[in-house]
Amino acid sequence: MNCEEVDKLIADYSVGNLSDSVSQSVTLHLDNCVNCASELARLESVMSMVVENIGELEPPSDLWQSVSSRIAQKPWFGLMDRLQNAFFPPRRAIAFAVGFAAIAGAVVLGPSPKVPVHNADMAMMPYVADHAAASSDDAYADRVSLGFIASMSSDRGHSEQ
Amino acid sequence: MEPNTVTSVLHPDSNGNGRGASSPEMADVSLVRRTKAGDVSAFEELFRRYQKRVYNMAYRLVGNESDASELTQEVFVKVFNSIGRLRAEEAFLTWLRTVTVNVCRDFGRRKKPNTESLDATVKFEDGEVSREIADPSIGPEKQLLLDDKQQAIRRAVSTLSPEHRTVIVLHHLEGMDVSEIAKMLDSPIGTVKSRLSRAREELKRKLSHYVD
Repeated sequence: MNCEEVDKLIADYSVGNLSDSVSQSVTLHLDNCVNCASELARLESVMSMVVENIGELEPPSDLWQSVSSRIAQKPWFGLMDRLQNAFFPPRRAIAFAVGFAAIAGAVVLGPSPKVPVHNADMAMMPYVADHAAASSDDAYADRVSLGFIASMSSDRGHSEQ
Repeated sequence: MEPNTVTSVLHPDSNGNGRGASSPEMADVSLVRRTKAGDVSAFEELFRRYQKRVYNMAYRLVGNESDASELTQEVFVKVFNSIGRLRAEEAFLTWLRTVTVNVCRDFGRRKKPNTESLDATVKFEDGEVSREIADPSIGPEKQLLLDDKQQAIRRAVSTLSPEHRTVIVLHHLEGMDVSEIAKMLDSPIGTVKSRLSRAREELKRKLSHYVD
């Protein structure tokens, strides 16, 4: 490996971005070439100079006031967001929705069992209705409950006739 | 970066003025938990600890103070609103850095390039003057000679491509290793190493006369 080849590889060499065999060849060359070794040293010196001299800026003194006023603009100091994130982080919400849709789809689209409506089922009617109403705004509205109410209304209509 | 410098910037309270916690990470955990419970004063303490770090990181990633200030606010508002999702409370700093990088990357994607006409005149209170354009034959390397060293370094870092600038800031100024950066950016380690290599090469080309 000659100096020209090493010069092209020296930056990759410095961050361990070469294969073992190529890296060994560069090392071998650097051990025997003062000029290339000094180029590598120069690269490291530049990076040290950057780190030591870039300096730090002081943030504006009113930064907290801006942040706190933006937080305060949210109702309950962002509590609703944080509660939503805590209980329904996106992945969990998506998994929940997909799982629910799959079950609902299987129940609604699958063969419906011919189960007679008993008095006990009628007693559940208000609870089922409440549940359906509560979930009616949801993108994944509870079609199971709505379907159940519809079938019970239909059965009651038949029995009244 | 010198290890001591990293520590002092990372944890401003780690030099012995004590706030009742056995380590900065433990103090972070306590503050994170209190913030999760809705304690805004605990969040203010987290803000005081890390605002300088976030501000400087944002400044280095976007290249100007005004945007850095706005983005620092955005980072902390995001942190406050989504801190409930942070399960590994002891990793608050890593998470804070990730939020900062993401906010700055989103900003970079949103920002439109400056499309002012080179022929346009510049209006001042006492009249208009035609725009004076720097002689491009001077070249960026010679322009850097005109600046002092610190200005030159900042200019050199800010003129790297966003991808190159990000890895330089994270590796050399935030002290993160390549595998941590790869994980944070969701990029292969080889990609991070290549970007780091090209960025270092470019900085050497622009700044090597300062180390002669």
